Amino acid sequence: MKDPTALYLFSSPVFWVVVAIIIYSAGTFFPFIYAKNYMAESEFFDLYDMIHDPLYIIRNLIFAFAMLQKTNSKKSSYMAYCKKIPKP
Amino acid sequence: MILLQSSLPSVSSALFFGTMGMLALAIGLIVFIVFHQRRVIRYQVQLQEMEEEQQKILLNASIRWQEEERQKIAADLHDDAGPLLATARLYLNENLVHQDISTQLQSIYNAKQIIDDTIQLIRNISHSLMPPTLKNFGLESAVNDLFQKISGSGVVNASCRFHDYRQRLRPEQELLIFRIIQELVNNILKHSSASFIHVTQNYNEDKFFIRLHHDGRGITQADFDRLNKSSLGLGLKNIQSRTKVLQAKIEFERDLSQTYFKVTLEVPVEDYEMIS
Repeated sequence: MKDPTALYLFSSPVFWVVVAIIIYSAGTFFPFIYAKNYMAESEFFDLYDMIHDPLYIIRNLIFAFAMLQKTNSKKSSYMAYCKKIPKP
Repeated sequence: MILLQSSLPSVSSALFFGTMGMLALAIGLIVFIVFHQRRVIRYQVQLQEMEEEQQKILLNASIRWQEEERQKIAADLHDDAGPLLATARLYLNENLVHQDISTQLQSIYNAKQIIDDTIQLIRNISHSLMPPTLKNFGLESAVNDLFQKISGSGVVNASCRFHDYRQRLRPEQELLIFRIIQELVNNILKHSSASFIHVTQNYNEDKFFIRLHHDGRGITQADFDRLNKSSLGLGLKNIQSRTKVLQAKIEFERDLSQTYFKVTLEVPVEDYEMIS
C-alpha cells in the first residue's frame, strides 16, 4: 500500500477486463431477460440488436485495450530478454 | 400471445430505460471506484510528503545540534583551556632562570597548579563528550553516575533502578539510550522544576523498556508531536531522531493520578539474551 504507483488502475489490464464485463453485463441484463419471450417479435429483435451489438463491440474494444496494456507491460521484460541474447 | 403483443411497447420502453439505468449504474460504479482510488493515491502522496518534511526537520535539527556542540567545545577550549595554558606559559618564561630559587619554586608550583587545572578541565570536556563509565561499565553505571551527580546538588532527588540489565546492549545502542536519558533529564532540570526523577529499566518480550517519572511540569505526547513539527525544541528533535535510529518508540504521558509525568522508551532488541 505504501507504493502509490501500484495503485494506478488504468495501467492494469485486469481493471479494463472487469470494466468490460461490468458494462456488457449491465447493458445486456434486460435484453437477455426479455429475449426468451419476445425474440419472435421483429420490433423487439431490432431493439435487442440495437442495444446488444454496440455493447458487444464496446466490450471487445475494451478487451483489446486490456490486451494492449498487457503487451505494453510485457514488452519491457521481452526487450530485456532480447538484450540478454548474445550477438553473433 | 395477444397479451404479449399488446404489452410490446411497454416492454420496449422498459427494455430501453432498464438498460440505460443499468448502464448508468455500471458507469457510476466504475467512476466512483476510479475517483476513490485517485483520492487514496493523493492521500498517500500527501502522507509521503509529510514524512519527507518531518525527515528534513529532523536532519536539520541534528545538523544544528552538531554545530552547537562544536561551538560549545570550541568555546570551552578557547575560553578556558587557552587562557590557563597562556598563564602557565607566563610563569615559565625565560626570565625564570635569572630569579632567585624561592621565586623559581613558587612560579613552578603555580604553573603546575594551572596545568593540573587544565588537565581537569580537558578531562571534564572529554567526559561530557563521551562518558567513560558508559563505555567501560555499561548503561546502568553511567545512568547511576549521572544521577548521583544530579542528586549531589541537593535540589533534585534522582534515582534509578535497573531490573533486568544482566547483559549489555550493543555499544551504539547504549550510547543512544544514554543520550536520550541525558536529554530528558536535562529538559526536566531546565524546565520542569521537579523534585524527583526516577528511572526504571525492564526487559520484556524482546523489548528493552526505560521508564522515567518526574513530578514537575512535563509534556504529553501531543506537546511532543507539536514541538517536533515546529522550529522550537532542538533537544526533542534529537530525541526523536535518536529513537528513529534505535527503531524505538517513545511515549510522553501524564500519569492517571495527575501527579507526575511519565516517559516510556521502548527499544526492540532481538539479540538480547537473558542470562538466568
